[in-house]
Amino acid sequence: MRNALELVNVMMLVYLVVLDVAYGTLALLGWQAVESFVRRRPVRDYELVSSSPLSPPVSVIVPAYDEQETIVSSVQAMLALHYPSLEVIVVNDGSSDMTFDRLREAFRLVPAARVPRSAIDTEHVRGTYVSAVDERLVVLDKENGGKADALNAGLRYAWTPLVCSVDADTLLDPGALSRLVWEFTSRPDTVAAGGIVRVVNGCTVVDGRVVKVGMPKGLLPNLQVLEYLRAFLGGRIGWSRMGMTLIISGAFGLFDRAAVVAAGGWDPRTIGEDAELVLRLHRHRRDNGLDCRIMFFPDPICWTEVPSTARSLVHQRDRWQRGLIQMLLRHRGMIFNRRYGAVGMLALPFFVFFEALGPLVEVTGYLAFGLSCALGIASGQQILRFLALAIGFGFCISYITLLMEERAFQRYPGWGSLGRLLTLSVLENVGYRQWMALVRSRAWWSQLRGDRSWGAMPRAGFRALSPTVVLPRLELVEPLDPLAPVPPVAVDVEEHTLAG
Amino acid sequence: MLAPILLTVVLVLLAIVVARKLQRDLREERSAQRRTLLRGLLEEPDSRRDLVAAAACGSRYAQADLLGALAMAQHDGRTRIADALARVDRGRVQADLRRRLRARDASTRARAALLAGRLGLDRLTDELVELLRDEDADVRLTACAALGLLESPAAAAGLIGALRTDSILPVRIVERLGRPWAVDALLAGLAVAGDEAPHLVRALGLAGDPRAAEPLTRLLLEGELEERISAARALGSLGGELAGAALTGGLRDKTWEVRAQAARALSEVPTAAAVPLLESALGDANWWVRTNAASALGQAGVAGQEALRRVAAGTDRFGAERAREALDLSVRRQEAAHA
Repeated sequence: MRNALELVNVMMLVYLVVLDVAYGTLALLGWQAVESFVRRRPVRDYELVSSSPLSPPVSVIVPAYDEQETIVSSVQAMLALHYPSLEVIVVNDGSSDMTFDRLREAFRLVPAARVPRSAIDTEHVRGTYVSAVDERLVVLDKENGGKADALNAGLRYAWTPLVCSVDADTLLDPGALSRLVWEFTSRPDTVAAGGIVRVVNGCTVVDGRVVKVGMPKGLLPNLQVLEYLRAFLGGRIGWSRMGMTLIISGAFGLFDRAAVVAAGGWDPRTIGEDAELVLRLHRHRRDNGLDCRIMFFPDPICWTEVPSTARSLVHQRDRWQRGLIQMLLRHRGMIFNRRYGAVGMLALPFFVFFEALGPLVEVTGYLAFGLSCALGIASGQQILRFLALAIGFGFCISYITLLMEERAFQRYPGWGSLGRLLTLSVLENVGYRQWMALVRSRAWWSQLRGDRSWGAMPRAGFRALSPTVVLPRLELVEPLDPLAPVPPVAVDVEEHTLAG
Repeated sequence: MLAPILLTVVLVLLAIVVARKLQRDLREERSAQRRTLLRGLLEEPDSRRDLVAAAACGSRYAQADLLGALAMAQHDGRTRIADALARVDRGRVQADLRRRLRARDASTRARAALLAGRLGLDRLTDELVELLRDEDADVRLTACAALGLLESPAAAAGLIGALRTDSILPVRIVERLGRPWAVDALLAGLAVAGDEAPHLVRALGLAGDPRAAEPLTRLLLEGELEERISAARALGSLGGELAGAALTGGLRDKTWEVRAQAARALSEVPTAAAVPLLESALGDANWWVRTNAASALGQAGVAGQEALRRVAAGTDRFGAERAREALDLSVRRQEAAHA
């Protein structure tokens, strides 16, 4: 028993050292990327992208299922994006509430035939509509098929060379889209790009826009503010710096439409459809000898409402972890496969050992160490070493992340916010992180049981956060140019001679 | 041993976070002062010397503020600064920027390029043209922007030359060239153009110069497929009677892509003469042509709506469907506008 515990403790320490070195490296790479971004920011002419008639047209696909509380303000925010050639395709995925009625009423929808551009199978689309007050808004009403199926329906009807997937409960900064498009136009080998997601809880939202950033009220949303900062600034940017971006958040991502269509669209069989698509893009492009630049961009900001109750947070994290496990199982052939370069040899093994199996190892380690302490096996030196590696290093990463935030963005101004974030970094590493490890370990059990549930999250809705919600301004804009250059697509429908 | 080291690191990082916050507050205060000063300097011609000095030897932050102030300044404001440079210290500024254009750090090169463009230092044109082939995408795009700001024949030639390479996405160059100052160079370039012709055509359309109408019309009738499509788009941007007449002719093109684009462009150039042809285009074999023609008629006022009503009541099912939709949308749009 004693020997077994000592062995587990040693293995745990080795594991923590490797994990800390990996996270430390990612944080430093993230710092480097943020520093480079800050230095280049003044010379990037985002204004040109957001005003030029030659900027590539973009379809923003918004899957909506039972989003009656937020859908109107979300669509208003998307139509208000600073981008010259934009269409917003809202896909009502068989909502059981008033989502479609709210849209019809607010935007005066009229039926309009629309021809699919790509041959991707989806559930039946019952009707296509366009807004009489803003021609850029298209609404697809379809049978329920899940988020991935709704995204595929939007992809099928999108005419533009770039498509942007945005959650219906997400708010975008007005310049977010043009900044991501900049990436595509400055480097044409880019096939996908994502940006930082931030927590909207606690912010003031007016007419679908975040006008004042604030810290949320409850402890859980507060902890998630710091967690999101660390995940994006301390993790994803680092991976992106090495050309190994594996996750573009479903809340906001921009894709080369042709590349997504060629890869088969979003997979309705998985619950982590966002990460799965990115991995499939890597796989498909490399299998076919094509360039594959997938970027995570430090700046484009979108805001999302995070769970404020323990129950909904547990559901969300359980789902995320199951999505990760599914994705890794589905693409296990890529792991340690030299054909997929650094993604196969480094990023995927990291995700297997530290993201998928990590929570199990962590929980086992905590238990073994607790038992060792109780039985008097672990010395004081060992306890200190364990705490330093397991918790102390977490503080370092959190503080580096806060430094990056201060250096580049300063979205949380004032000493009060900083003080709160510093306090949260303690709470996050002592208690919250361990709880999350437990929740994520439990997801393995859910996965083995074959649980495919999504888990509901009660939303306050932006209306509650917003002092005013107004109808969209009456603005008639020119329709998209359907003949804008579109890269060749394998399964595209080039010409339709039949109406509708 | 490990724990004390880590504890020290944590405390040091904590101190740095607080120090950075203090430093930022201080820097923001200074930056606000600098921006106020720069705004004042741009409005008071007598004090321009200080501004030029800031451009020449300012810190990175001062440069950033200067770029911001110049970006906000109107064209005559930039010209005044260039005049001041000519009188005061142009040589030193140019030498300094020339050195920075060759710096190892890409962001330094990019900032210097933008500053050269915004200050109108056309003696640096060669260096900027060279940067169009830089290894860094940001530097290439910034050099492209800077050449667009210089508005000189040499800059236009450099940009047209870059269209023959694949170092920059052509639309980003076309955006810079699509201005009245570049029309002469574009027309000259079009006369000898190869594969870059569709891009030059697009830029001519954006420039909106009436001299472009004739060569664009010729290209719409006689060019290759890509050129005809580009010409139709460009004529739509150009507008005017001549463009409308040419686009009406484009509706008879043998290729559906050109017919569809001509119909689409005609919605931007409303002309009564086009209504009968657009009405006929509703019977086109191609969905895109029918849809674009219906959309153009929906925006062509009363005559367009009448044409849509005729087709909607007709026997051609495919044309009637498009016409009904466009009519419905057009009427609802009118209602919404009145409401």
